[in-house]
Amino acid sequence: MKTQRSPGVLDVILPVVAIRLAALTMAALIFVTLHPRGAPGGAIAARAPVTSVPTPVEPSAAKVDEELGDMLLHD
Amino acid sequence: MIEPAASRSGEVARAVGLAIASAIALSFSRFAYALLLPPMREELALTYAQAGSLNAANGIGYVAGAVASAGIARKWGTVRSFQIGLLVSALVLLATALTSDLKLLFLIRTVGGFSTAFAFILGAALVSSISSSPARSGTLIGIYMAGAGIGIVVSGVAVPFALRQGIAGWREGWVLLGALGLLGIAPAWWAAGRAGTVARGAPTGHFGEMRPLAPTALGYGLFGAGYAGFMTFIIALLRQDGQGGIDPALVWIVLGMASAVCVLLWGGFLARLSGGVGPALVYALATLGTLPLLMWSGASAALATALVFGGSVIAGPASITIVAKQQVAASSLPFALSILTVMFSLGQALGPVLAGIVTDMTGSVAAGLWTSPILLALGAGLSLLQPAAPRLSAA
Repeated sequence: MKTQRSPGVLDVILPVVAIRLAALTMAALIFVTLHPRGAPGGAIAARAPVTSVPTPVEPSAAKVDEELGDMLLHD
Repeated sequence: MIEPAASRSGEVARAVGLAIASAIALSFSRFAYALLLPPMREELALTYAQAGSLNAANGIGYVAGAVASAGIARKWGTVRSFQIGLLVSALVLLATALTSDLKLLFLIRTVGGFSTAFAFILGAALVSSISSSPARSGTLIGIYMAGAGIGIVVSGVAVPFALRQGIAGWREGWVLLGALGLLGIAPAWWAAGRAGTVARGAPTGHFGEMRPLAPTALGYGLFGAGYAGFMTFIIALLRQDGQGGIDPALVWIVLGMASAVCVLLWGGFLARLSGGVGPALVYALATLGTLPLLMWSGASAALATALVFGGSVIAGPASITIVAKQQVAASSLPFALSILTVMFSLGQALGPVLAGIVTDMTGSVAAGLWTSPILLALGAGLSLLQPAAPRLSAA
């Protein structure tokens, strides 16, 4: 860590917490992305309900652009 | 919402003109404060918490402006409201140079946040109305948002020029940014006057309907706090620690270029993710992007942060918009996005204050900045709790 003086409690705790949270987050993200039905936000699991919906899973290029069109209206 | 356009080159020209608004609103008013903060803090003897609160004032003003913009636009017209908002935004940049009084600066920054909300939000609505086809809309919106990245680059050149003779140059820096903003007024007004008609249906929605979006809303608020704290104090850290001799302005310019390029790439990819994976991915990459600068010294660490952080944070709004479209009915989308925007803006107001308080407590800018990856990672984790939509959006 970059400190040029005696490190205090926060100087030590914050980096440790941040790095562990970052590692946990990446692990969770990979798990959720790969695991088909294991988590509420599962990327692959999310596709399952689509079977009951008569619309394509992959958005069309026009749909993607339309979504982009809306994205900035409320930044 | 879409009006026909005369030609493709004309459409691009109008999008570029309107992109000046995103440069003024986001880059000059909000982000360039990071470049001017170190000399302002030194000359005005500000604590880091006070320095952070000046950017928080900008965020609070932005919340108010975001809430008010739709109503004012209905009353005055979108084009006129945009034009006035943009003009006031440029004038506020000039006004920031006029005083050393902290209360006045707080007020000026608040007004700046309010006016830039008008300029940016209504500018986005206008650019959306330019395109004659949905396929072109995404490109034009990308150009509009890339204006923020270009604005970061421009400020990275202009502010160091103003500061070349010492810390007193911070006033010259604001004047220079204001003058650049005023120069951009004419093309932006021209583009606004030739944009299409912004259609406004009657928005619906209620808070109960937003419950499924709670993880995304909370995550977006944490993202706003994490990214704003980091953007506010990154230059202060670079100046404090030296960073192996790399010019902080160069890091800033690389960050802006990464933002400008990556915003054009993210949209299509995010649209193919479901649940909260999109925002979680964006926030997680932003988290990782903060780490090189905080963990290591040297030019390569600073540049790695500029590339990864700059290239990811710009996709935050796109990521949550796509989630909202998947989760709520199309008629409720404006309401949902308003709620999400308020959460983001509140986080954006609180993040710099938190980082400033921790910096004051520890005497280390790095310690204050470590709050950012914590907030960003928590935001990513919360976003992962977002359940996938029970149905695809009917859009």
